[in-house]
Amino acid sequence: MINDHSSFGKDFTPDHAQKASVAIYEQVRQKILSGDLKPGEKLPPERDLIDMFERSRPTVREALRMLESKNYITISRGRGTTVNKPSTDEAERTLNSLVRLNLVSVQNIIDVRHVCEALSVTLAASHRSEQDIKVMSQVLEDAENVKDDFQQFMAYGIKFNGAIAKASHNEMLYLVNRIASSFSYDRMSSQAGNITDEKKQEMCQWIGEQHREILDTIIAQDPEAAKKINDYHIECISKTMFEM
Amino acid sequence: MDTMFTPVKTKRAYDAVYEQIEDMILTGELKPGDKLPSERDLMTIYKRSHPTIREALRMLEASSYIRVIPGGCAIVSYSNTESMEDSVTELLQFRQVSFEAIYNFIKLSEVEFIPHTVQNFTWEDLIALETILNEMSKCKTCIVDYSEKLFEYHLGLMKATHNPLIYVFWSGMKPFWTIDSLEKHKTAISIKDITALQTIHETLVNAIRDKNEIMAANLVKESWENWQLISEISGKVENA
Repeated sequence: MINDHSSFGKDFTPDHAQKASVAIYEQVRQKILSGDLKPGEKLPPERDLIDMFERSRPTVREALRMLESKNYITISRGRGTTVNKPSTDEAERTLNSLVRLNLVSVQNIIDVRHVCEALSVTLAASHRSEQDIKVMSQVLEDAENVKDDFQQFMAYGIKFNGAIAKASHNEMLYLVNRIASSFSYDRMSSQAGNITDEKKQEMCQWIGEQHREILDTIIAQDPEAAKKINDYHIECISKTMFEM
Repeated sequence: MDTMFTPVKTKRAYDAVYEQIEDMILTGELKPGDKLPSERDLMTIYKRSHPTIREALRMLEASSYIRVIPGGCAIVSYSNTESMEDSVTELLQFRQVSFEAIYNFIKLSEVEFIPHTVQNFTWEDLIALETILNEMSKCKTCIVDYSEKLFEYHLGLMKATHNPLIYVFWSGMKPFWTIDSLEKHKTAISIKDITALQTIHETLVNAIRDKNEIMAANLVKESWENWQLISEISGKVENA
């Protein structure tokens, strides 16, 4: 029995005791997520944090850097450390990684866009305010001015989708749309090298026209027409994405 | 003027190290189970200090790309969608998305996604759904237990679409579907008739099995009609 080590330690699992810097990172992160620390608010100076956490400078600094690289805070010399506004960047970045790891396919994203953008335009057509119309129109106008610059034009595509989703007045729908649509436009602009200038011009042309038509149906408060033209729009976009 | 200048952002050394290793994992150059070089070797490879290397590793660990096993050795993790589920949950929490928004989103979109379930489900999905339904039928008297189980069931419906992105969003919303968070959002929900709802879901699983898309969509719609936001009942919608 003494020599039998096979069952010894069976009940032990690896020790996942948190490192001090990770524990500090978690504490601050929770305060930010819960709203105890609000965007724009300043964190205490490093010296005070060292006292509060009873940890060394390198440990506290490491935690702060981790928070910074995850976009929770901005550290600037002289102006101290401020809490950032929540953004969809991190979710967009992870989606990008999942696609590269082949865990999510482009088709998966298109399927989600199809459903969620249809909901978005339908709701926007019913609930849009005058202010929403102003914002959406402005985005299209600005996009029209940069038609010769493919990358910039694509960036306005994300903005337009976002403005419609905002006009749906459902925050959840907005976030899903935002994450899925920015992937599509990022992808199209990153693969812009594969297509000719002529083709780019053509794309800007039809995307611009279709966006205009979508906006018109939203202004006209015609949910059915909005859904129809948007379905067609996504079909065109997905066809292009697969061709690129 | 404000379009002329943008803040200057410099990349920090640990970010550069992080991105290089991340890229190797994403391109498959480093595979799950592979060991990373030791911290000391990484210091030599990247010509960077120990704190820089350590921070890059901590961040890779926080993004679940690697796990550090006792002894300090870093191993590339098997990738899954969990990191994105977490960032969705975090985003919803951070932006204080109201329960109404989440509830309405699920109510409106599930009916549109259910055709994907009907087209792509496997027998394992069906067995999983039946198991949850069975558990639900045992806790019909307790609305708290029932609604928590019910979310598991909805998660199962969306998992059966075999579109991992849909599943990611539903998993990300899961922490908000607890009585605690409902109260936190200053609203509450109620089910008009649990027995009726249970019957609808049992019929729905049969419709999926029969590959009847139209019937499945109608049943999803009908099931949500059994839900009610208290704020709807009292006639006012409170914004969280």
